[in-house]
This record gives sequence, C-alpha cells and structure tokens, in this order.
Amino acid sequence: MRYRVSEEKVAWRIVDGEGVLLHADTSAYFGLNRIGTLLWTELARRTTGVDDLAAWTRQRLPDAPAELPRDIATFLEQLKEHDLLDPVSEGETGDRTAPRAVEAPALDGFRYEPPQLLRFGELEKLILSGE
Amino acid sequence: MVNEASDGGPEGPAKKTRLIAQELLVKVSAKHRTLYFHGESMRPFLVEGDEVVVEPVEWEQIRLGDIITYRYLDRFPTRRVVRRTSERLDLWCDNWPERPFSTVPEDVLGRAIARRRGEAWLTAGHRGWKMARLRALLRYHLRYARRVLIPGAYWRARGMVGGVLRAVGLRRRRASE
Repeated sequence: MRYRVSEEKVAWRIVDGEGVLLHADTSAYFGLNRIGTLLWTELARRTTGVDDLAAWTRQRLPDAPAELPRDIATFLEQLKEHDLLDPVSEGETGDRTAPRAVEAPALDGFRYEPPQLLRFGELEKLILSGE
Repeated sequence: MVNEASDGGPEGPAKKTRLIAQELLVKVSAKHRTLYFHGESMRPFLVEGDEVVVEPVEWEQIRLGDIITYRYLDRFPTRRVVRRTSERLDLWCDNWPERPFSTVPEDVLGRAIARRRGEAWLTAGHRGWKMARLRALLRYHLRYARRVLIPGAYWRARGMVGGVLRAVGLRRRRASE
C-alpha cells in the first residue's frame, strides 16, 4: 500500500525542523519529531510506501538501524489512524497534478530516533480578538 | 497507539505547537470552519460572537478598508487597514478610532471575507460589506484631516492674515523684518 498526505484535510508547517499538523475537520493537532518531519515532507512531495520510504531514508541516514522499515510502518499506521494520510491503491497513480514544493529539514549531526507523532489534543473554537 | 503530549506549561514547546496549530486553523478557515470574534472594538461591523471566515491573502492583494487577522503574541487581532506602505499596515478598530495599531507582512495571517451573525451571512462582495468599508475609511480620513491637516491650515491661514495686517499697517512689523 502507498500513501500520500491528505492535502484537503491537513494543514501543516515546519518550524525549527519539526512539523506541526492540524486536521482541519477535527481540529486535532499533532507534532512530529525530526525524522517524522523528514518522512512527512517526502509524503507531501509524492505518493510512496514503506519500502520506498525506508530506502529513501537510508540514503540520507546510512546509520539507520535495521528496524527502520518497521518504525516507518508504525509511523504510517499512526498517521493513517488519525486520517492524516490517504491510502493509494496499487492501480492508482496517486500522482498530484501539481506536486507541492517541499523542503525537507536539514539532518546535520542528526542521530536516528524512531519517527514520532505526538497528539496534542483538539483546538477549541478560535477567537479573533479586536482588543 | 499515538503518543499523547503533555501541556508543557505556559511557555513550553506545547504552547508553541498550539499557537502554530491555531495559525493553521486561521488559514484553513475559508474551507473548513468559521472563527469567532470577541469584543466591542469593531462594532457595529463585528460584534461579540460573530462568526468570521478568514482566507489567506498575499501582501500585494491587501486593500485599504480590508479587515485582516494577524499574529500578535498569542492572540489574533482582527482590524481594519487604513493605511499601507510597502513594509507596514496601519490599522484601526472601527469603534476605537483613537487607538492606532500596525503590523508587518510576516505577521498577516489572512483577510476576513465573510461574517455570519445569527443565520445571516454577509460576504465581502455584498453591498453592505462595501458600504461598511467605505464608511470606515471616510471616518478615518475625516478624523485624520481634523487632527493633522486642519490644524496646519489654521496656522498657515493665521500667518497669512498676520502678513496682510502687517502689510497694511494694522499690525506692527516683527523686529526681524
């Protein structure tokens, strides 16, 4: 199975190398650690799956442990569980008409840690203040 | 199982994450949900509890009279643009004309494009919205004229009258003349 970011439902931004995701329908918001952010940027750039992502990540982090594919699979499950990814079946191309230009976070001096998705809760109604 | 994050305290990383998520919520307002206006400062155009739709806007597209939402500390002030330069927007609140505000391009999050009060929607293309914009700008410029231009005109006129009076001998000439 391959996946892509649910662009219609998820707003996101990278700040200081770490991603913040907001599910626009539920107002749930999440944080990603650095490796999670790295994977997310690739998912935002193209439709991909566990093996492909593992190979891509290993090119950038040659010291990544043997558990990398398992960690990535767990991470993708978490994203899917929270409706942050759209699954793309094998028959579909999943290609975007206009791929989003995404800059992956820098990995200088980075030591591998499993990709993590942190759920912070849900935003209540947002108040615009005139005062 | 997804990890649950703790709050992290008032200044913790969780607060920063929350603030970024709130900014993202402002940005998706046009597609997904309305935001709520609080306070009296934009009466009568916006009142407490009005729902507002905000959409992202490019700096070059912001026009005088637009109502914009911007970032200020951990709040999202929503005010009317009354002047602009290439680097700054001057803003005011329709109901607080004596208090000036300003913001810079990087802090602008979006522009209000619709308002819902009760069941009634008003959108930016509607005549009522345009009239409110016009009225607010007119009030701003009249106020600006009273404060800045008219006092200047008074002193210029006074100087001219003094010059005429001196010329016809009805007022003593200055020692320097």
